[in-house]
Amino acid sequence: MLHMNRLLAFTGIYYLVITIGFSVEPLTQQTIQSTSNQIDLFIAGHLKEKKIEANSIIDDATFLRRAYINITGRIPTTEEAGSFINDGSQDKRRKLVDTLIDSEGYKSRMFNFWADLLRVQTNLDKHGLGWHVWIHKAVDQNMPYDDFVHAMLSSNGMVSDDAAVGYYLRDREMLLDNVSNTTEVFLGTQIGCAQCHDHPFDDWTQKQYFELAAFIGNTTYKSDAAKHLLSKLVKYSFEKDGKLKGKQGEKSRKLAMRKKGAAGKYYKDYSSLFKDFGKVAVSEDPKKTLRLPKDYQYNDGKPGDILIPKTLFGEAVSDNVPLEQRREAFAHWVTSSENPLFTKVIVNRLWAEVFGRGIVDPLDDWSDTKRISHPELLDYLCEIMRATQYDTKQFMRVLYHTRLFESSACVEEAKMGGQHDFQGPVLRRMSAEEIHDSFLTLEFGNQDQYKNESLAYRWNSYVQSVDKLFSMTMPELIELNQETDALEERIYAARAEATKLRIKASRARAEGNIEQAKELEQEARNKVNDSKKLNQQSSSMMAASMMQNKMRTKPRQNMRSSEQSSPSRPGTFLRQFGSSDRMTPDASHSLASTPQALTLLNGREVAKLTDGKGQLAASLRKADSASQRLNILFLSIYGCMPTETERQQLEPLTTNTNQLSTLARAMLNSKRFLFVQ
Amino acid sequence: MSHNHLKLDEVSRRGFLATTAKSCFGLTIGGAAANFFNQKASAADPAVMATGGAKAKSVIYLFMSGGMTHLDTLDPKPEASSEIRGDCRAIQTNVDGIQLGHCLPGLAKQMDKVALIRSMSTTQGAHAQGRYYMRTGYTKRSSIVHPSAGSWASQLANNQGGELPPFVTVNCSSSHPGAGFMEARHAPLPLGNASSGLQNSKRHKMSEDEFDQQLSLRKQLDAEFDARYFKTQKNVRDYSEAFDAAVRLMKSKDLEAFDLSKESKEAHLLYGAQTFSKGVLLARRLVERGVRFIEVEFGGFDWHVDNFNQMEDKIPVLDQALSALLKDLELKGLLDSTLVVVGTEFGRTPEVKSNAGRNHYPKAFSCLMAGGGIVGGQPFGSTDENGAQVTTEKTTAEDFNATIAYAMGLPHDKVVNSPSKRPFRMGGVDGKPITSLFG
Repeated sequence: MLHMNRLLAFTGIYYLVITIGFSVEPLTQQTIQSTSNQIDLFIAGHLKEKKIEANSIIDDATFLRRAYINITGRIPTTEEAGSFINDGSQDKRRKLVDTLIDSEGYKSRMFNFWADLLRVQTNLDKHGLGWHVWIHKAVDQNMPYDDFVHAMLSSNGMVSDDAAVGYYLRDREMLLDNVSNTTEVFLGTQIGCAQCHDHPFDDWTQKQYFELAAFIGNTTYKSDAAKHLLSKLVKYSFEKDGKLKGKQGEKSRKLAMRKKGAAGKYYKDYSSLFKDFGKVAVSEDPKKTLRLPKDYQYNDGKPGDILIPKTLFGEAVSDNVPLEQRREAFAHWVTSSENPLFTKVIVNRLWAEVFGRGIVDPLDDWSDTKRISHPELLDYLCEIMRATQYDTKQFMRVLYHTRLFESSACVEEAKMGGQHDFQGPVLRRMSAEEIHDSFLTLEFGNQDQYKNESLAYRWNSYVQSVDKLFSMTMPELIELNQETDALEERIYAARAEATKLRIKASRARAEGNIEQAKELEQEARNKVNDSKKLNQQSSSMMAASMMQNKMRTKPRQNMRSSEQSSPSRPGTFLRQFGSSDRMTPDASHSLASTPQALTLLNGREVAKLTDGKGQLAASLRKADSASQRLNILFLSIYGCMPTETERQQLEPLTTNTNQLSTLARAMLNSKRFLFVQ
Repeated sequence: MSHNHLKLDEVSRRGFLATTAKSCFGLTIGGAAANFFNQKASAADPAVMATGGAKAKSVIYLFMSGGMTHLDTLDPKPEASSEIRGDCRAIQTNVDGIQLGHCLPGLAKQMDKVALIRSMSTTQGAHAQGRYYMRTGYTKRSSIVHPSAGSWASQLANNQGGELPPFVTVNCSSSHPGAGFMEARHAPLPLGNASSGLQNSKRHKMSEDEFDQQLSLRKQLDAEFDARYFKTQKNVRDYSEAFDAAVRLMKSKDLEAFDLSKESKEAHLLYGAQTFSKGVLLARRLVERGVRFIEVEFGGFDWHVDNFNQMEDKIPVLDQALSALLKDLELKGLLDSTLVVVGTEFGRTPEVKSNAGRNHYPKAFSCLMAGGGIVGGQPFGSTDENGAQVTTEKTTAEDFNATIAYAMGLPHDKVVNSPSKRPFRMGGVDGKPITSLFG
């Protein structure tokens, strides 16, 4: 059996490569089927060897719900559920998978996956938004995974030119942590311990850590272009203001400017125009070298030694990589198909996304992989990934077409860090984003196509203003600087007045004059708003754009979680249900808590679904029979029709508005809703 | 080494108040509160007790977010030039030789309860980094999240979870490190607006009968699901637990701990009318009911512009709430067992900048501690004539957190390993408690 598996594996891949060659066309249905069959053969072979029965195939409704939540990140709408259940065709499951994987919902769900893994913080300085928008676009375009990672690791220059530098700017001044996150996220290798001392359990030494970090050890976050422009502007102003007598050579000009810090005044004057350019770019500073730390304690080096970049495993890199090519060399080493872990780690992560559990667990630590349960399957998955040229969507499509994805969920819990046999997928609670987006679906129907355009809009206007700044003539820049200063003063003045009003307001409030306090507070708010209006009316929109410190955007109530800024605040619905704080990679969770239960029992999120003006409540009101109402409840919330017993027990409740709402709430509180079987 | 074991810790860390019997809050308060004030702070070292530490059973930590100007509050420099002083005047306090900024008249009258720490000094000049460092005693990294002081207190006091959460944050921003790598039972319960109490703890437009019917319907709908998974899957059982705990909480007296409407009108007037004032009042209420650590954030201290008007707006709010708190705790006999801390991420530049602003200044700034065994009326450490350099008793964030530990009788240098087996301490790598604050 095993032997045959291997043979089939080989033919399967051969077939795959022949079929798609080097094109990025979607795989044909035939290729998809043969490849997913092969995966099932590996799974079946393993089960047979261990004398374990595979789980049975799930019914249509369970499949429907699982497919929607897993592929699109939300439950199906009443209509979507109804049309699938009533579809009589043989291949309707395959059709559903192919439809969903090409849907906007899939993009939304994948954005959440990457944002969690990469710790995207939308409001982090300016680059946070740029990187957020960049990842969104990469997901929309289904950028191949190796290109995606390579683009981030080799990114260079200003964030307005290459927003992928957000990957490094995310960890500005935390270079060593950035390196440890890179190896953890993309290579399943935890070297964090070795930042301070040799790794206690794995083989990594502190020196190896520093040698790897040396690839990006010269990284600086200041924009060279801005620095040059600023000094050009200072030089220009210096000359224009007649600070130089007659014709002088470059050398004497430099001397004159340096004298008593004569140029300093100009630098200071222009600082507001360039204040952000110290943390918006990634480039190399030859003077900034990574050295072994002061307390280095091992014999293979001395404190303060300069390090030559060296890879941890796999391909070696020449000792003489020039400074400006080091990030590129690093990106190449990580993402090369020759890297022993790069492909394995991503296929395992995506496998876990689909089946709820990695073949190797934990996903981010491959140090103990002597007993991988399905080594041949893992190799085969890597072959698929390479054959599709790292097309994650086609890869996941193959997984969604397996019999395994149609098998019922395991009754037994998967053991942390242990081996799993994959009789079926793992039972899991919906993620915070899935619950949020399912509630959204119940209230508004399918919202997948609505995108938060304001994020991209804000980002693009920033990019345009930076581009414009760099194309301005010197006199234009001086004029802009004056405008910016004037605008700044106007805003400051407005804010100062608002502060005075607020002082009056708090005094009034303390004295119990609540009405007066409210009026004063409103007046203060108006002042601040006026200063923002000033902003927009300014003759130069650009001056306004330069003034913004952070580019915050408001949460969008009627949009999917992928369209919101991240992370959401503590205590919000998403955070309560375990959405990541975006501080460490892959930090979301789906564990139970008392505050969650309180929200489900008493929160307005549930109440507005059952009692509000939303779609579910409206269609319940419109329905003209008790049985129809029960059908709507079951189809929309559970994605299935009620059983005969359920109909007998529950139908009477749907004739009374209060009872109907009580039933709907009970359904939204139930584990049948919260979990994906 | 067992990876399984580590990974379990790692996962449970990520849970928030996972509802094992140990970590559920929401039972009745009587037992815990009754015992609470008879207990010595746990893990107290007799040697620490002898030197005046270990008296604090609870901590109220007021965090001035944005970087509170030290020159205009706790460390005024009346002798300095007007470029340094700006519009801030120094006022006398009820302790000879100690002056405060003129916006703190209430605190000035209670200076004898307060120890000023005027020699704070760090290297973290950005907001997020500065806050993180002050709250955790470690510099910010992106590969691990360190626990904040409240979670350390919970961990070191060996909190097993009880009726109320050990650590509550009020109005804290999303960047609060919370329990960091520690387990869920040490995580703070984050409250938003103090006046609205514990979120979603009351029935929403539903009679008690309807509510009970909803509960039984849910069980009925889940009968088949539970028959299949309840025995084998922990998270499935945990959801049953979570709902049971939530219902118990709704019907219990505990809820009242979060209900500010139970406070008298006088109390409300005493503390003030702002969001922050309500947070401080709530903190006192929670201390009375045995919550060990409450952190209340007061945002908006980042005055690059218009420092002196902003000060007139903001500092009186702090002054009123803080002096109300000290008075109130004293009156209720809780001051000696409650450490009150005012912290911030950094100070502001001594020279007043253009637009009457002050910029970030981590090199020298001030915090204060009162109650909980602190000997009041002392200034600890000092800065030079311009508040620019620390001249004596330089104090780091590590020392600051070690001092909180000391006040609570907790071992600030006890190593707790992260799930990745890296060693950490409440007092950071080398924090030393300022024992001279205690007597």
